Amino acid sequence: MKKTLQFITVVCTALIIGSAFAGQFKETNANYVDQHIFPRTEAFAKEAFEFKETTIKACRLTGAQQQEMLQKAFHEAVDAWQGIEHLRMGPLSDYDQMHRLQFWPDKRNKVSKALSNLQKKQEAGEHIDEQKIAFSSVAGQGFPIFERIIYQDGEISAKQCEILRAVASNIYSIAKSVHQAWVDPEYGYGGEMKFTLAENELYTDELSVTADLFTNLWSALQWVEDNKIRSPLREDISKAKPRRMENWRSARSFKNISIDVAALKDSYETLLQSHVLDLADGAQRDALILDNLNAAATISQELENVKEEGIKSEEIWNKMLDMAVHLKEARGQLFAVAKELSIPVGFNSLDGD
Amino acid sequence: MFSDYTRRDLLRSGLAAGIVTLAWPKILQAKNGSGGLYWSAFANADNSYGMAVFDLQGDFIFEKTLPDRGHGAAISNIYGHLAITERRPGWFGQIWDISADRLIAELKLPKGRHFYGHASYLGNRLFTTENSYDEERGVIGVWDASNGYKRIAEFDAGGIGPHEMRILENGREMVIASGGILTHPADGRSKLNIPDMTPKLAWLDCKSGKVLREWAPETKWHKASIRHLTVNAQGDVFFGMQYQGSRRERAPLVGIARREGDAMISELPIDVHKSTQNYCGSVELDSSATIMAASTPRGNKVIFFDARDSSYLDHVDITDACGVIAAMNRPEQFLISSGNGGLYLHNVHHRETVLITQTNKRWDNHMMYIG
Repeated sequence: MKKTLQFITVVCTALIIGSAFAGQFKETNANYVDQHIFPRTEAFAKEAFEFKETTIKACRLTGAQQQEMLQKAFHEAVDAWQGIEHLRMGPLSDYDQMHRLQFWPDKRNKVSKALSNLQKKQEAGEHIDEQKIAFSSVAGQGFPIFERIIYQDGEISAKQCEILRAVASNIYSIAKSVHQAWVDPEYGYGGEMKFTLAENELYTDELSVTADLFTNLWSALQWVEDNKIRSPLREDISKAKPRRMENWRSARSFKNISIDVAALKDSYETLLQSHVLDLADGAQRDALILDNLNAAATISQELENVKEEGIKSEEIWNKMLDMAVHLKEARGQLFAVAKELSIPVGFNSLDGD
Repeated sequence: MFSDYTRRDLLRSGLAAGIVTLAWPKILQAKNGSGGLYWSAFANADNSYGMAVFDLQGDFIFEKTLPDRGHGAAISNIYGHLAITERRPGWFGQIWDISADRLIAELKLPKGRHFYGHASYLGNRLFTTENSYDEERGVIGVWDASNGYKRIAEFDAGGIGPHEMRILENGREMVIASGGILTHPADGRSKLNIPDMTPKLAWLDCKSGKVLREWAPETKWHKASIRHLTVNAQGDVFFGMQYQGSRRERAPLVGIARREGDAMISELPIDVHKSTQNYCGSVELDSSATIMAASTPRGNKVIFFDARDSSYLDHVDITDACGVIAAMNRPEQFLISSGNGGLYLHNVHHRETVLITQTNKRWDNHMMYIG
């Protein structure tokens, strides 16, 4: 009897705490969707349109002028892409959109194989257009295949330009559909998260939305730490592998990290900071989280223009390791505050197996 | 290479006649009582890791620190040994003699392998699910418990990402849940082949490792990663999945692959299905083998199905519930653990849940019945 009462007490306490926080989360969930997600997906869709248009124009040119124009357009589009890459949920997790845009890490060299297959089709007389790209290998549909062509030695051929145009158009179509899938007033993920749709297909309450957004933030921090930092860093400097970095061909891997960290810091500030500050020792907890995110952001900005080969230098290697440590610390602190805020993310739900 | 498994071996390892404990240490038998003893790995608040053995009263019999995060384990009733391997990417494998309260062996992995966190005993053999990560294939490590846990063989697991495995009661076959997801320790826990992943169940001959049978979800559901399973005395396999595709889809969560015939996928009420986020953490049967329990930590639920026809029965809401195991000799009752530290006893028939004990441990994905 005593234990049954103990159980009932625990359950009731959890429900009371949960409901007390639910209203507050409703507002910050909506803010996060409106102020963080929508502007970024919109910016990416717009930038992807420019990217497609510029690619078409550049393909009418030749030589250095063409290459310069394509590379500039590529960097601007990837900047916008990196600004939403941390939203590894919703539309980006549907239909392999994430992988179609950026097939990375590419351990089996599938991007090269996809490019080679497209070239073989061209040799056989096929014309490569957006439709063909959209229905070909996931690895050959996005930024990596584009990067491979525009950062090759030598001039870009007319056949390669045909692939570039098709890929850029495909990227724009994906970007447009990702934005639409967030904002659509009848079925958009944003509406599901704000509970503004007639019927909610995904969520039962506001806390489950916050839990989802929290899990995404936590997982994105881990993704950056594991893949973009620790994977090329390896366990000691003698084993560092610059070519494990995300965009080593276009020498923008460090910039990607910088954009990621800034987006993740903004995620914390928009979604969680006000709730953390409401905790009894909130100011202290918030300062700890921000100290780590700011430290990682400062290092990432400092390294933004470093070439990937730089990780073989002791100074850069150590700075990257510091960055990884700060991101890990921030992750641990976020997990701890989630529990105190009654956000239903647990040890197993967050990182199960 | 292997000595034949005798009827006696099977009896002693508890496979041929339900759970028996011929050689189980007296110290544990004395404390066992009617409810049995259970094992789980856990994490502490300071992110240190350990494992514990406890009873249905919430009393702890055994508790040890682990070098990193544990996951599942296997128990040998011949030797009284408990084998635990680290979760993916796992590097440590330890063999404990609980009654003697000591670590008796460490599994030495060959180069290029890591553990996935699950293992099974058969006679004097220990089998572990592993990743041969540079070759990008799943393997089953074979270790000799009668000879200091020397590694003596290795089988191809029949799929990428072999996770949980069980030995069938006939003692000749093992069944393996292969998630189909390619990972490499250099990339942490990242999933590297989601667009073309291929999960499957594979039945292997325990002696030769030959693949005897396979089952895979229909192509439409190729992202339904099969991770966890259990078996009944007839050799039917009850399995749980973790879908890697869109949250909007109502993907298969659990299924039953009959010994004879095809597999069937369980249907769920839409609101329950929605809450699970298509993620199943653990699958077990009750002691009468008539009820299947599937934990869904992302849905904060344990869901119950009729094991005879896979139909939905009921669910219980418990935050971050993941570990689930039959309460021994108590049909329709399950012991459930939560990442928030609680251990619960749930009676499916009476819809009653009792918090046995609230700890400051974060219980990991799985529990195991010890004896």
